Amino acid sequence: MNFVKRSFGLAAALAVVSVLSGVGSANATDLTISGSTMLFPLEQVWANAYMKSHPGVHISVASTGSGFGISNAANGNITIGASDAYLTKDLRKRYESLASIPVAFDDTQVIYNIPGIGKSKLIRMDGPVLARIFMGKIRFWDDKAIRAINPSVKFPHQRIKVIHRADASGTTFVFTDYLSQTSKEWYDEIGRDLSPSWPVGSGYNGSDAVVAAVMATPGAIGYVGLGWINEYHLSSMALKNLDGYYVVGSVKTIRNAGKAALHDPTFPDDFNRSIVWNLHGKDVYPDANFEFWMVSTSLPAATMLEVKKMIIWALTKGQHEKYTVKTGFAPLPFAPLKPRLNKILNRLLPGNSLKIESGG
Amino acid sequence: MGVTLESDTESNMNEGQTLAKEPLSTLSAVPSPTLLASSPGLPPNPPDSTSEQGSKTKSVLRDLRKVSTQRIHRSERIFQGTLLVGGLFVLALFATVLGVSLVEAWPSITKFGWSFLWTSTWNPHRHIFGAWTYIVGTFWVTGIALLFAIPIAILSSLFLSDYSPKWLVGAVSTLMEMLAGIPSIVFGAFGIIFMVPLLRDQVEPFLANTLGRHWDFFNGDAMGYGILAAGLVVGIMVIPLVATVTRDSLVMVPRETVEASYALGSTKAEMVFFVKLPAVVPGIIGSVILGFGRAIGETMAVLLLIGNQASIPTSIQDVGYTISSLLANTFTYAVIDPLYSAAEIELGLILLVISLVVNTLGRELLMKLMGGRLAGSVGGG
Repeated sequence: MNFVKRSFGLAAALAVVSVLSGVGSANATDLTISGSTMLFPLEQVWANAYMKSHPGVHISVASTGSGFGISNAANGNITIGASDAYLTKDLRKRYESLASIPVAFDDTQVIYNIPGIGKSKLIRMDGPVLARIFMGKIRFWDDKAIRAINPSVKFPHQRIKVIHRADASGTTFVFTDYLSQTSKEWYDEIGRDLSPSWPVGSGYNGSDAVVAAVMATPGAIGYVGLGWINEYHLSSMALKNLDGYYVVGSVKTIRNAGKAALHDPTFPDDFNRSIVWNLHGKDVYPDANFEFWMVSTSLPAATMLEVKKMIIWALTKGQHEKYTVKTGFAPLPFAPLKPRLNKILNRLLPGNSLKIESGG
Repeated sequence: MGVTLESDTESNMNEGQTLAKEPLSTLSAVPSPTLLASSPGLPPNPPDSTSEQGSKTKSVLRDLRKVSTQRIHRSERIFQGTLLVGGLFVLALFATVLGVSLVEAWPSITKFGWSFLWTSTWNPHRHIFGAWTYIVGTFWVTGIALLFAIPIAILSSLFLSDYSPKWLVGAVSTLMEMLAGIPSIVFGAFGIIFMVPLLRDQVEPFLANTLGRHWDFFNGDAMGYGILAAGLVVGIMVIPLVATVTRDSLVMVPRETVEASYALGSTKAEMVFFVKLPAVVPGIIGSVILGFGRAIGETMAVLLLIGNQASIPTSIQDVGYTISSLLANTFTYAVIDPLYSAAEIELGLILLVISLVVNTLGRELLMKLMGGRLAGSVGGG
């Protein structure tokens, strides 16, 4: 009994001390990051590194899906919500307080398993044909539409087996975004969504399951992000971009896409548009995307200061290749990002000018 | 149980109650005699012979008894209250689950009405939701599972009850119970590494080349994943349930019936087929309902194997989607849109209603056929 009382007293004293010091130096903070499963590996690495260099800050990271990240960041259950998808008009209307901050580049690539076609052979693909495949309108690999883009490849007469994600996924959003931008048919009938109503195929839970299903099923076609391409040493199709070049996704071509988007004067300051949209250039991959952190502007000021510090760290030091490339992302180019970023950060915490300098 | 002993204690109780009445009446909380009758541990009534020792001992004993009965009454009430809390909690829990689901599903219920049930479009993008595809998929998987599980379970339980050597009975029934306790995700993984390649490379091409030549229903492109894989694996999970209940009811067939059948000159096979099997039909029906409840709600194993494609299967080799796997896959995302999540919760309600209806019907059927002997074994799905 006595022991319990004493330890209670001790705990109370400790709590008082920590609250006092928290008020004094904003030291003992808890940040919760939750959302996108795609961004989760990078967030884990970031959280560990950040906690090491910033003692007193505790960050807990969870992988719960982009939808959860957006809605819970908006109602204040979590400090930072992670999302693969930007805030569409609908979502911006529903969650007015949210600001989206791009924190890394990712992409979606098309993988395949065609019997008799080796890894070294480059398969080209364009949006309209890909859309017709995923709509079930092109059903065999030796269809003349596919052969027309790949005159040098000899395709077998094999059924195409479409493989897609079953869970709501940012990868799906980016993939269907590309199809929506390039194929009117797809845009009219299905559209872009984290979980669209797929006309054909079979669905699997998570990118690992998609990779496994594509590798095990002869004739399969599927899509995954850059991280999985690297991890499983997969070969992916070269996708046709706006200028007519066929480009394979890689850290370099994704960065090119991001730079092209950021240099585009019509690109909105709040980043609420896909970077798949209207990109010019030779080596620009047409299906890249930003990964976002969603922060509510109605967070209390003390927390917001910490969040802002964390964001700036993630955008500068956190972009180092040992964090980003290692977990399957491409680092953001800081210079073209800076003016737009300042606007967002000012929206988050007006009047409090933290010096933003490139850290890496 | 001696009848004299019982009546003796009863008289004790009555006396104890009259004794207790005096102090308790002031509290105006007189316990019912039935409650008292169930309370054990009353001090034994002193035999009449003690009266010779004077009234002093008697009054001491009386005081003692007064105190102890009072205490017993209080603890009885506390116990009763505790049980009441437990009972009400279950009621409140059910009401809360149903109430919250109804409230959350309301936008979808009012918007789509009954047509929600037979609309086969599910398009969150355009805000059109219909459950038909998922209801059909759910029944496909459940149907395949039961078709696969019931014959095997009945054969195995007949073998175990009448034909198996003794040492095998123990081993097999222990294994059955263990099989019933394995988490479904383990079966799902087993399905992916064993069932899917087997179906893709052997069974499905074979089906397409034999039955598929005459009926399109068995045709298709061999994927491995699909309603067949999901149904078979759920069937494996259902076998122990059906087999255990069937075997239990086989054991309950009266020995006289069996002997009478032999006396009339039937062989063993005739006895088993014409006497024992008809006698356990209600038990089998009950176990099938139990299995139905298990199969219809199975989530993880189905999700891994069914191919999660929202289309109505036209062939046994097709992929499909069940209500439970749709919820598991997309519900965390659906919360972003009130109508979307309402539609998914309504799907959950449909699943709840289906299993409630099937369980209730099954229970009624069993009551009629077996006079309630086995009805207890049909619990909630």
